[in-house]
Amino acid sequence: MMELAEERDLAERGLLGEAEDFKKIVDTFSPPLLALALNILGNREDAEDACQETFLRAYLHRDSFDLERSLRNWLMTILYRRCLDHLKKKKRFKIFFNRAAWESPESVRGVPPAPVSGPKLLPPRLLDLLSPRERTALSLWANEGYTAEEISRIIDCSASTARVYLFNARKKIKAFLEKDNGTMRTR
Amino acid sequence: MGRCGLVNLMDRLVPLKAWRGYLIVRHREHCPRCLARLASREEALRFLVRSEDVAPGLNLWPGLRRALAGRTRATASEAAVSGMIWRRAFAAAGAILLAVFGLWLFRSGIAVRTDRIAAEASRDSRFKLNYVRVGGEPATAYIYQPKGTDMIVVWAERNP
Repeated sequence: MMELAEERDLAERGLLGEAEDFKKIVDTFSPPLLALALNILGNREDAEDACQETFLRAYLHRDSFDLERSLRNWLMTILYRRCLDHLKKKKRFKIFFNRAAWESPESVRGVPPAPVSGPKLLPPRLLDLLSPRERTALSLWANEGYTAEEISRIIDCSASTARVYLFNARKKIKAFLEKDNGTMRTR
Repeated sequence: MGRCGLVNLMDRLVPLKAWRGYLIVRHREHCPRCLARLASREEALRFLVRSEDVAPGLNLWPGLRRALAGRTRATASEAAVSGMIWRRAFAAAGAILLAVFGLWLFRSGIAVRTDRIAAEASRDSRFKLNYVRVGGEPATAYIYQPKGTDMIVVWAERNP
């Protein structure tokens, strides 16, 4: 992972400069952000959209960024909120679609089903197994090496609550692995 | 074993996140038996997408640059529209103020003129006697006008 001083230098050059200077930030943080978005959303298209929105917001609100803070954490926080918004939108669409289909099957003929899931890399059951917050906590812990305190700042809760999300996620994964006796192939 | 059982029982009895977090810090994070029931980092990574999985061929910049350019243009045009709206609002407010002031001036002018005309009319209609003589001698005059009438009665009396 990038050193804090290096990250600060990148933030100063990327956020205080022109749009082209921002490219370095995008290139550096795209993979971890997309991985987190995929782990939360389970869908590549939605994850890429969420990442783009995150970078766009970061650029447009770059004045509000405190250079003393971690740029990575700031981007992760924005991304997490974008992902939750995506999930809410999907849920609303699914409710609307189901209601429309139930009330008037004829009226929705030909409408594609809601893109609820369709992960290309994630096992679909993981999405059912863990809540979005648990998936976020697990992804940040396992992929980024974040502590409960750091996770809590991103998902905007107390460290204690973040610890519980992470604990639940790890417990569920373990139970799932034990149930499948380690035979499951995830990728 | 007994302690883990007790912690599990307390966890179920008080399902509050703050309390559960406390139990994790105090016991579960350090207890080998409890840790054995949690997925390790390596096990968790088997379920997760990692940065290395998505990095090859990933390039969000072209799409983002287009979005940024569009947004910048939109922001500039929004600012221009916003500036125009403000200018028009100020102009309209100025015109309204001017109109109100003009109306006030006009009305005050009318009022002043009306008062003057009324005053002039009042002066013209005033009954006045410069002097009264009776038999070629100065006399004392009494002028009397009954209320609500145009009638004026003049009483002249020779001075003794």
